[in-house]
Amino acid sequence: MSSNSSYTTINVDLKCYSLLTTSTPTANQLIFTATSVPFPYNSASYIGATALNLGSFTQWTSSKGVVESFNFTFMLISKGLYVTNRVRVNLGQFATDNSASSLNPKCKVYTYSTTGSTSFSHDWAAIDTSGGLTNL
Amino acid sequence: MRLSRFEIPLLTPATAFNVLIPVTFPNGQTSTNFYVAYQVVNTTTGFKSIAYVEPILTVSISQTANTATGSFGPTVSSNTVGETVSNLNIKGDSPTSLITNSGNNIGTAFSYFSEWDYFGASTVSGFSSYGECYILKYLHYTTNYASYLLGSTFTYSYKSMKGIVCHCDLSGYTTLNLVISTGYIPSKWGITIPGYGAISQNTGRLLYLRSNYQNVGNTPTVSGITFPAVGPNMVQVVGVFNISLPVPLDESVQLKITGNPSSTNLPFTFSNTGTCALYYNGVKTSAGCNFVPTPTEVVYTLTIL
Repeated sequence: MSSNSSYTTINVDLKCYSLLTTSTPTANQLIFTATSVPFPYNSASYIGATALNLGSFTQWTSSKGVVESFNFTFMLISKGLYVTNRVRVNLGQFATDNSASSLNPKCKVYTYSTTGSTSFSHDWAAIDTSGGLTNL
Repeated sequence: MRLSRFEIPLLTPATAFNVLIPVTFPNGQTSTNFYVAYQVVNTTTGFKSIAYVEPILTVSISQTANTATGSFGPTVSSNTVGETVSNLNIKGDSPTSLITNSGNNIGTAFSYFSEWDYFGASTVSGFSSYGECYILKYLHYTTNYASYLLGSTFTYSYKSMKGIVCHCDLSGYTTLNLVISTGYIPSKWGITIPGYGAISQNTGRLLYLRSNYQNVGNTPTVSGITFPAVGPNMVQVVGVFNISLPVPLDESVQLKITGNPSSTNLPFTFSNTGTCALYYNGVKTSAGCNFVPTPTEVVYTLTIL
């Protein structure tokens, strides 16, 4: 996270407790601490720099004559994202190869999951083809 | 009825020897019976046969250990959670002077055991003027066998205990500092670390039994923590708290983030729809994560199995 003089910060304390012997730990279970750590925020506008972590790309076939699906995962890090914002994914050579396709591409986006189970995201149900297939 | 048996392999013992057995008697039990026997092994067939059985030995329990006095355990008030300490002291102060039997100088003993291994491969010194010490391990194993026989589901729990038994050859011992050449202070319990010390008199009675007399004095302070920048209308956002751990976390922990001063509202709220996950070196771990927020505090529970 980069610093920015336009940010406001509050200070927070962090304490880590052991749960080995109790579910309601006290100072006796304290493992480590951090005091007065700055927590940046901006109450008025959209802040922060986006990092998009892309991984787990799966492709089923390399044949250009086959209509297929492929999967990848991504995670937005350290960025506030409005519900009206869009994430643009450049498909690179895939888009070039399919620029003359008569088929409309479709996509499904699943919500963020901590368990690995997939649930369909209604907030990400659309794909914008108005910019052409090379610029989804 | 509880029965248990253990065997100690002996390789041609030439002289008398002592067997030191840490035991705990259940509440309400007033006596216990011991059967001591030795068996020989046929070196050709491997068969074992009983060579001698000692007549039944009944030990009456007439002493309730004092759990309010005595100072036992690691001296750690100036140390830090998770620290490796050179010359770690294990205190074993008895409130009363201990005496030994005139016949064999055996009977008085100090013992200290814990589910955490403070000793490692260290040498231990500090008791040579009174007698000898022996580092040993045992398995503390309990079941619900009695209720299991009545239909309950069988349950059990165990702890691998390691510690030391020191028996006196010289009367007069009251204060003691065993020195572990390299001692290891655990981190997974926090500042209250596990361990029990005990003193038994020459009659075999357990006089004192008490948990560690000191808490660890200091906790590590984390530096370099980064929080994600936050702002308004952040919906379906992944933010990363980057925390460099000062000690390894191998058991479940609670992570509490509080405004400073404590009346300060945190710069974010939750709509009770968020989730959290734990990453280590960029890879998601299998640790469970839950949180409970208030305007001034968020409490994460990280379940590490």
